[in-house]
Amino acid sequence: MTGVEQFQGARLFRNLSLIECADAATLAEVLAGLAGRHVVRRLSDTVVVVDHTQVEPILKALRKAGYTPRVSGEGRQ
Amino acid sequence: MSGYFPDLLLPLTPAQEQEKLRATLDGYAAVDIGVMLEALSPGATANRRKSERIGVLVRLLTDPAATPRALGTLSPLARRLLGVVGRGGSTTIAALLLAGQDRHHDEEAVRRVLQDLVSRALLLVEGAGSTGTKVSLDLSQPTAVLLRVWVPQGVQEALAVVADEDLPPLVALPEPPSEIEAGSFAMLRRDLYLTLRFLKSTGLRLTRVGEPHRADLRKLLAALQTGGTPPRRDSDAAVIEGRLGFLLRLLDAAELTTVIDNQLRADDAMESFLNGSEPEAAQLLYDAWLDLDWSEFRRLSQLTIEPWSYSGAGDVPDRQRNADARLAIVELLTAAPEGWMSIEALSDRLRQTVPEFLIDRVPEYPPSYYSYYNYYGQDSYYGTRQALEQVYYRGFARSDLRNRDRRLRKDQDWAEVEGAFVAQVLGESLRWLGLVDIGYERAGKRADGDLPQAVRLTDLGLRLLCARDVVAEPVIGGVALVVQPNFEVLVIDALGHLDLIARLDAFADAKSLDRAAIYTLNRASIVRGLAAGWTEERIVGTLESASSGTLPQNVRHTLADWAREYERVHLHRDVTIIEAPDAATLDRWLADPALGKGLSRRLTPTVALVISEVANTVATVLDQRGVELWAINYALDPPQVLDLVRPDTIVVNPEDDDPYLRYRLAAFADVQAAEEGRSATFAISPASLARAQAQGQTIDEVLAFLGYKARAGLSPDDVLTLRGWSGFYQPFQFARVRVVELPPTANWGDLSRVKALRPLILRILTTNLALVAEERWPQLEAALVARGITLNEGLDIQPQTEKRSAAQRAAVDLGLSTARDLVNGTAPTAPRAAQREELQRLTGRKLVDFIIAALEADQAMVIEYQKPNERRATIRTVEPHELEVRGGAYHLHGFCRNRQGDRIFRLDNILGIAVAPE
Repeated sequence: MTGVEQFQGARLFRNLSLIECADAATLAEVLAGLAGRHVVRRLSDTVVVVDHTQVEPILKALRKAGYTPRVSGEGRQ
Repeated sequence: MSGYFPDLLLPLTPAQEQEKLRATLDGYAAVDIGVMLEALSPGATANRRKSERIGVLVRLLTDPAATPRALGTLSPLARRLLGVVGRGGSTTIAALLLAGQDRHHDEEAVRRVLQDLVSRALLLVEGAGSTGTKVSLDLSQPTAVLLRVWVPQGVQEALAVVADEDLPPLVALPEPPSEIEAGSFAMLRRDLYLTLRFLKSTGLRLTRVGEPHRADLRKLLAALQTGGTPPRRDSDAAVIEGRLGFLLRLLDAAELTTVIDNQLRADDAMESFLNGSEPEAAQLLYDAWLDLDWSEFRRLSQLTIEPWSYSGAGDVPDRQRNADARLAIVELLTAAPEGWMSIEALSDRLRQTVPEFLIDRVPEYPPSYYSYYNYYGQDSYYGTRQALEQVYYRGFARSDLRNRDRRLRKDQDWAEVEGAFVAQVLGESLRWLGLVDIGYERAGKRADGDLPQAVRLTDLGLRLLCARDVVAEPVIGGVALVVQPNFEVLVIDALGHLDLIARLDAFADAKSLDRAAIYTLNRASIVRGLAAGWTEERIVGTLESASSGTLPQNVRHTLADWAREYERVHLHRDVTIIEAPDAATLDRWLADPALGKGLSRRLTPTVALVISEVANTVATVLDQRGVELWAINYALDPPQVLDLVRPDTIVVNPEDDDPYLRYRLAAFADVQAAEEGRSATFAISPASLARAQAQGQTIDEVLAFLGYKARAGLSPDDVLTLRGWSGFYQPFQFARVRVVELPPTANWGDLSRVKALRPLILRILTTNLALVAEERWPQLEAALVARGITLNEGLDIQPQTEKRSAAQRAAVDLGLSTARDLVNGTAPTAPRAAQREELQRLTGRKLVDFIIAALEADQAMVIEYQKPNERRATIRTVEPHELEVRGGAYHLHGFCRNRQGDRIFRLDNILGIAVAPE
């Protein structure tokens, strides 16, 4: 566990990128590709934090793999 | 007269009218007044003075009973000519001579009629000669064409009902023309729709003068040819481009476009325009056209517009004149009988009724405009010259001479100028607006510049211009489209369903768009629609309601699959999340009204998505609730958050330890120990660096990351070690050699020129140092001894202290301490004073070396500094931070003790320098 994860208060992360899948199998399938290399942290069976600097390559790889990912929340805060 | 604007003429009061009459008649000779009086009232002249005669004449001309009597004796042509004058308020004899001519009356006959009207005072001549002479009423003089004439108000009123009575009514052509070009408002709407769609998505760059960029125009032109064939001839392309320019101006005038960042874009009003009814849209565009900044005249290919060296543009109509002329044409067209009309007949009717609807016969110069004509008066030599010159149109000429005079005459070439203009307005603008159809007498291929010969109003034209109740086709309703099992969508009457087309664009790809449109549904287009906020249900609903039925099953199921697939993987980009220590805490936060409205939804038991815009509010509320908060913004990349204690060991303190840093470290290092509350340790090894390289991370990227994140940066040893482990270096080569040093009297260059010695030398390092391979040594030794050279073992090694860089040497020379001196404790103990006279005048390399030495020694300096724009130099004490080369010049960054702030000093401006006395 990182220092942040050991912290017992609220943890607010801004400007990060997530991949959220409909089910665990889909996430496993997605992470088997390029996206798997850029996982920063797994939040649950269906949600992972990915490297926010690698979103474009991840999207490109997902589309190449045949996914049509829904993309939302663009624009840095 | 200037322009065609009869509605703007205001009637004079009786007193004003009488005054005007008196002033005009006063300019006449007494004998002329006598003749007029006799003509109107025989015997009234007897024994009267001029002023009395004028009084009687004015009374007669303003008598409501007398004027109809006078008119009753006139010929129909005379009455019509009076009508022409009355319509514009005043005009010239030249215009009346043109208007009066027809099959039965040549110019001379018209002149006689006019002379008769003048002598009866029914047509009054304005002004007197500037030389004080009386107005000449002799219309046979060449200068008479310049005379401006007007009609008394009473005569005008009496004429109102009889003005055009001698003109035969316009009659429709018995046969339709051989070839018809139909005007289609639907096609106009289609092109406007495509243009607006282009402007909405791509935009049209504008040049500095506000004209559309050529390259973008070509793209727009291509967009307008959806499903159509490109023009085959240049002339066709010119017409299409002309029409495009017309469309863009029309959109601008109708306020459907807007300029954003020098790009022409579709305005928000576009949607309502596209969704509006045909009559509404047609009215909007027609109104915009009436005053459009577009010159039909300049589009006449038969005419060449020429530079006009005097004021204004010659006789080329300006925007207002164009607009007035359009209105005159439309009014005539609407008054004409229904059916095909000869354009020549229409243009002829304009000549006979409003001869100056487009171009004045005699230009009206402003009083301030200097001319011989104004200065000397019309009845002079120059006036005659002016009169002769005015018969030519000014500012344009024939394009195609065909052995004719290039100049066009106002009294003869009406058909080539005004007539062509009428045909141009009908053939292009009004046809493009869908208000008229045009016809040609001859079918088949037409030459450039061929103008139409016949015209008729379309149904829309009749409805819009004549308020006729023509039954219109229903525009919206019924089966609008068909969805086929091959995913093609056929919009049956695309032009009548532009609102539907606009919706289809969101989630289907257009293949062709003409009277019918073909779209295809595919995964990419559906995803585009979903990304734009459409839902599967809305897409299906739109298609089903427009097709009045259900979709083919395969299409329906595939759409559902694509929508499901779209929702399967969701990438949230640059979002904010909040993580609670446990699920129960997050439950409480979600239930908290103040916090809950900032959280969009729960992602995991302990993590929720935060609405980014209110993330600060969420943080504030948590603080108010006494919740400790650890906030990390990944848009920021904090430096100096780890310690590289050895090349193989990284330590991260708990307060800097976050998942993203770990992720970055894990790419090239292995986590060793991370106990709760303790620092985390990571090990770098050749294996971990090889792993990083395998994943595409180069050693330079690793070094750059560590250099940025390590608190103390990277030492040379760290760089050497990490590069060595990563396999950055090629293998180093070594061999057993002897080093041979020559005395100052010899050099290896001379020795290497001896053939016998050359192969025995392995490598020459300097002029007096060379390497010799161990196995060659006996031969070299023997060869040198044979040449009487003695060899001694041992080298005269230079002491380490003498091996100094240029900067260090400069520092020593200047009495500065170097870093090494400070470490060794050998720094000079008595720094120099820094009085202005003691400052060293250094320039160029020496100055740079001095500053580098000061930087290495972290030594403050005293400088004499003067910028080029300053009159006096200042003495500053500067603590140097950095030396930078910028814009080809050295700059010193440092803390100025005099100014108490960081400053940048350009080395060129440093006049003197010395070490600061500490």
